[in-house]
Amino acid sequence: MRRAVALGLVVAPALAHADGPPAPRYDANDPAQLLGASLGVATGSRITPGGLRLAGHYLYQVTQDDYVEGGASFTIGSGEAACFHDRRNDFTCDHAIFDGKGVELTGAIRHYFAANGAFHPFTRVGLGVALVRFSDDEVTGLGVTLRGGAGILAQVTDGIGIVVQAELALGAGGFGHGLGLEPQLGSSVLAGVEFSLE
Amino acid sequence: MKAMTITILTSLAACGGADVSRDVGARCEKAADCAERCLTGGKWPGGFCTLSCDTDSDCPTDTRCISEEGGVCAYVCNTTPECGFLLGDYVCKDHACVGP
Repeated sequence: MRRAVALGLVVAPALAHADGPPAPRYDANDPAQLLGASLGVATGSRITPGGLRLAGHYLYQVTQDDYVEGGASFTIGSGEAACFHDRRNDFTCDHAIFDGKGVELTGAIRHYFAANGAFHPFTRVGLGVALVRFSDDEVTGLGVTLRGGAGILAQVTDGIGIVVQAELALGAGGFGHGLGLEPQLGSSVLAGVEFSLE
Repeated sequence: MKAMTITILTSLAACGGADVSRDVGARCEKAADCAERCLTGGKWPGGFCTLSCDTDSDCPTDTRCISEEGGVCAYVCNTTPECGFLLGDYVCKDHACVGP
């Protein structure tokens, strides 16, 4: 039964009716669980890291249409220095969109909407905590972001689905080197694979 | 032609102001504080990040190439008050903001 439910989560998008649920009937005693990995691009600015993003996540079904998601991601951008002292001697940073590095832990809720043919759209809202580093500037910080996005899940084969999603992140981070509290504003587009654990 | 170029550059600088950066204008103590060079000493109060240049076209917007230090970019100006954003004692000499 557990296998049937889990596989059904990724099979369902291809089979569901337009107004149908994303997965077979939710069973509190046998919720679907999935693992996923994705690759994409994150954009940052000023003091938010951006670059190549690698992410992994775990999904646990909590209602018919909702899943709790926990994950970790790595953002790998240029280490090029972009901070300086202005004429008032205030330290400021002006990084490009693909600068910096970050490691982030995220928790989110994914909510599915009715299927559209073979595709099943969803929204995702969550929180992230990130350790951010701009190496050539020797600037390190800890950021907290509210994240929101949307995506589409499509079945490839039994038990395997492809996910494409876009996300915005907004928050703040505390940084050393005299920067103090700075805004965090970024976005990402990721594509990846999800597969059932059973 | 050169005079016309300087006039245009100074007009732009006067209208839009000039933002300092690691390339040109940031305060510095050493080259690592800048994209390329850090000029220090009495002629560059507070330190002055800049780029080496041979001609004006080697320099960013609002700056021009002056013969100091083997050729460096400096902010263009017509009058000393236009150099006020650099703080310190920068003055306008030969249409470029430099120290006293």
